[in-house]
Amino acid sequence: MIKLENVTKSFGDLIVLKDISVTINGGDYITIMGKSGAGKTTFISMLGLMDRPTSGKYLLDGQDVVNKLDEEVSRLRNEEFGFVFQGYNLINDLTVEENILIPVMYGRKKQVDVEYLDSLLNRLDIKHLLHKKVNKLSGGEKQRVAIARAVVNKPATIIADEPTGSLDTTNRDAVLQIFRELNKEGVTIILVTHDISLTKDATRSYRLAMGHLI
Amino acid sequence: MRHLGLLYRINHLFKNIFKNRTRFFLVLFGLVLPGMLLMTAYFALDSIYYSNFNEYRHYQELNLFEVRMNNSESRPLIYLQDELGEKYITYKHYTKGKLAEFETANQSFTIYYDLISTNSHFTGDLIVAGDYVMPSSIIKGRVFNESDFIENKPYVVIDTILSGILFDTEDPIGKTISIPIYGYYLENGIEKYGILRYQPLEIIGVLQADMRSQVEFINNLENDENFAYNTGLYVTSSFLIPEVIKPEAITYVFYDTKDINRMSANFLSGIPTGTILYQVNYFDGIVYSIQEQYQTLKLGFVAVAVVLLLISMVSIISIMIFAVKERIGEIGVKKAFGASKVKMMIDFLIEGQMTSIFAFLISLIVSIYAVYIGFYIFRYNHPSLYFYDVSIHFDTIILTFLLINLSSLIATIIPASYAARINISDAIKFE
Ligand SMILES: Nc1ncnc2c1ncn2[C@@H]1O[C@H](COP(=O)(O)OP(=O)(O)OP(=O)(O)O)[C@@H](O)[C@H]1O
Ligand SMILES: [Mg+2]
Repeated sequence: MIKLENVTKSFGDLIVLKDISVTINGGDYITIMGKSGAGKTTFISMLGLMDRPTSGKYLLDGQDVVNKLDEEVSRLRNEEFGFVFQGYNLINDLTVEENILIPVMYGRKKQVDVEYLDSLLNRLDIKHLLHKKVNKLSGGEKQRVAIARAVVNKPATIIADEPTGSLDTTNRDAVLQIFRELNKEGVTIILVTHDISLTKDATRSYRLAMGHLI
Repeated sequence: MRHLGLLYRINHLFKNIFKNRTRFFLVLFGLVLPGMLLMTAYFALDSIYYSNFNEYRHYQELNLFEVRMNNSESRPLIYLQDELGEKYITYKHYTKGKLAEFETANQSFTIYYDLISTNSHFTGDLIVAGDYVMPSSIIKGRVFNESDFIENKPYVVIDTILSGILFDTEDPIGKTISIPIYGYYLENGIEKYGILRYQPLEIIGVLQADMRSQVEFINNLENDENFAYNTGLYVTSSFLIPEVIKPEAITYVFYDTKDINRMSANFLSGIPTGTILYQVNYFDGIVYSIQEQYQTLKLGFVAVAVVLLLISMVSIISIMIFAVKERIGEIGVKKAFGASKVKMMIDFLIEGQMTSIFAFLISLIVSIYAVYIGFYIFRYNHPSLYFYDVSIHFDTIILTFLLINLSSLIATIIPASYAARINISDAIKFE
């Protein structure tokens, strides 16, 4: 469970997020919409512990994470969250497999559940690409690899920043189908989108405007 | 379950160092150059040192030292012998003479002799003269025994080269050679220097000439129109040639340092103060001063290597910061997926260390090759220095390893901490 209390984030004079309080429960499917520059990426970066709020409280499963040390925050990021970015953000000169295993490499246990990974690769239909360099892949394939990387450590929450923004409808539907299935299995989904049709899967939909979450 | 241990991460980082070839080679070059310079210089210096002077260490341990008499006219040789007793091994009369001259159609060479007195400590295992010490062995006949000393026999021990020149393959033992004794004589009231007479000496033993002299002699014989060979003629200290009783200078080699003080006390009594009669050279001191020279040279090379490394460090810092900027997307991803600042920093430090280990290995291999090839060519051109041998010391290797790796480590700290501090959300947007 993620709980934000009066969270504010500003860059210098620019206040991007104002006094946001929100609770996200385990198993939720949440969409966040808003104009470009509204602060969606800023918001989810903070949710995913990639950035710290300027002020306010962040409780993850009841623990205050704002003042935790980098080492501890990194561990939580590694174990609790999986990210899917708008620009895929794969490491180009690595293979598909190496990209997928990045979270495992920096994890505490460094264990890959081989059976789970295998089923994941089948489900995402990227098993045949495993030893290919990612810069040789199509956009849809890249995004599926990015999803595999996000879930390889079985995180409680997946945070996706416009994951379908640059995909065609077939690939978009495939990605959404995967999120739906993961959500059914109990994974919390936090999805940033411009596409209103994506909100139909959501248990709750938010909109960011003028720094407020409504 | 599959475990991605440290090896997986190291392998991952290992691939990273080759990602940008130009950068990799630049960094490599910056480290290889000083490493190579340092190791090549050290290997070469060590090799020269150990080829030439390692023997000295042995004599140092034997407690040898030499005394060079500048002018012993005021004290007869006999006196010195009484005074010193058995404490010296050999002394050299400064009576270099022309023993023989050989002329062919296109070549001439001259043999000079040094008359060297020995006492009962002279076994032939070690040729101990004032200015050189060489291991040796008696290969024919014998050295002097007690009765030779008592009976003042005109016996001589010669070396293999002289034996070869004079007698070829014939057995020299029992044969007699006559040595010219030089000195001053009066002719029509004018003092002249020249041969006074010939002294016959019977050969009782042949000493192995040292390899260096052998090679040099053969080389001279093959290549030089004119050359000279110096041979040592060993006689008993009791066998006195009256004409050379007042040598211009005598060099003694002692095997016991304790007696030098007693000797100087007795020797100096009754001699006008301020007269410098003798000079003492301890092998200790000789070895020490040689070592010091080499140490100074070595320090010079370390200084040059350190300066080069400092320059390299500056360029490594800028090259690596550039690399970090180029890899900002990758760094963002890794951090987003759980790499902490410390892990990120360690990653870059490991990458830096891997590059420097590469640099170290390349410098090591190149230096070893360079020194071996260099010495091979050197020996080829200077056959008399056949004993020049490469000696590679582990200390040098360790020193270079530490210098290269330490400077690389220090240089990588700045870019590594820069990478560690990169803000994730900024880095993610970068792509
Ligand atoms: N590191 C930063 N420093 C300064 N300003 C920033 C920084 N990151 C974001 N901003 C600003 O904060 C605002 C919100 O940016 P953010 O990226 O969160 O918007 P967004 O809603 O994700 O937009 P988009 O839909 O275009 O991705 C923008 O005005 C942006 O310029
Ligand atoms: Mg955004």
